[in-house]
Amino acid sequence: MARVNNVMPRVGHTPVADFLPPRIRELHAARWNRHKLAIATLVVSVFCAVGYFIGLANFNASQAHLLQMQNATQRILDSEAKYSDVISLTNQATRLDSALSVVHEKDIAWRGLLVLMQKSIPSGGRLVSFSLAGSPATESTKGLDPLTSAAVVVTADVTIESPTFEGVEYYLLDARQWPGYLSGSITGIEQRNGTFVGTLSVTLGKGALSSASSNASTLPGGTTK
Amino acid sequence: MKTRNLWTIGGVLLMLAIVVTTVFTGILPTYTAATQIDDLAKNQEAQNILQGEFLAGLQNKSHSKEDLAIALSEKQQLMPTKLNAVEFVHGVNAIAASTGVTLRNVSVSQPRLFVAPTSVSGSSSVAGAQASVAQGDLFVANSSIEVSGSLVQLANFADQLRTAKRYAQINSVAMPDLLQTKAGAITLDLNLQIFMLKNQ
Repeated sequence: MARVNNVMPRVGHTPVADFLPPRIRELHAARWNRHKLAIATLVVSVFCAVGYFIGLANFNASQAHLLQMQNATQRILDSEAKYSDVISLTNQATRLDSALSVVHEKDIAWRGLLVLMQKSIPSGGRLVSFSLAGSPATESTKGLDPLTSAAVVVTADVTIESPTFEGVEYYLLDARQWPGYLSGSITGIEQRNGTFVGTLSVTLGKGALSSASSNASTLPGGTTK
Repeated sequence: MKTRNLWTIGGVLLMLAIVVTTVFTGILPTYTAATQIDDLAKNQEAQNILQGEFLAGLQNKSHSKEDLAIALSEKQQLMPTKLNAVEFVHGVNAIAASTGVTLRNVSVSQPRLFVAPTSVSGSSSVAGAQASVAQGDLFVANSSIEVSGSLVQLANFADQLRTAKRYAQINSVAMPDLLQTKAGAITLDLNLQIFMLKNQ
């Protein structure tokens, strides 16, 4: 039916008759087809070329941006070179701060500890001897406290003389207020000439470090980390 | 009809070839290269911002260059490049005089290389500091001091010693038995360490 519609003239239209032989008509159609293909190929080529040039432009823009950034870096480095003396001073100070941080880590505020030790002496008693051993900066801490598993920073062996037995007990109770207190024990209490001599052993943890008792970030010389 | 089909197939193949060739040899490589360059530029820009802030900091610091030099000099006194035993002993003596204790004995050993032990705090700042001080740059010398005085005076002496111009880390304090005199003066043995940082 469709075929018939194509061939038959429409109402009101001028009838057209094609007397070209089918071979010639086919040649015409083939030529028209080739033209269409050539045009399509050209259009595709143009689109591809446009795509390529857009990509190239994008690449060039990126390169230009990178170059701009590199130039800015160079300018900054040139400017920094003017302050080489300041950089040198800052680097040396930073290096010293780092070194001080390393060696200062096990620093202990002994004064506070000595004052507390003295303060805890019972009335009428006295300090007979003591030995407070911390860890040198070159050594690790003195192991872990068995009950709390906290690092032992100071081991204090103190011998006191007290007029009463309770005085020795109270001294050990007072030791619980010492900074970083971990554990305390009485090694021995003996009576000598009417007085009681008690030997105590107290272990202190990180709380005894100067960084814990004062400003945590203060280094020797008042500098801060 | 056959010829026409061949032309059509050939034309479509040609177009496909043009598209594929353009995409794979022209567009994709430039796009990839541009992306890489953009990434580089982004990194460079971020670096520039940091460097710019650093430069601004330097410009600010340059106004107080003298203060920086003074602060550095103080830090160098805390940890000098040499043992400077005489200066150290002189400083100890001065502290003893100012705190009213009697200096009985001072000794300073030869310096040796400082090897950092395990950090007690385990903090990242100390680990970072340990990493930033090059191995072989830091040295330590042991020192022992024997002083006598009242316990308060000795406590002040110990405190001033660790906060003095030359940093000294006291690692043990001991009052041996039977050394307390009747007047209340006691003798204290201090073991400490002083440090040296080699010049770079």
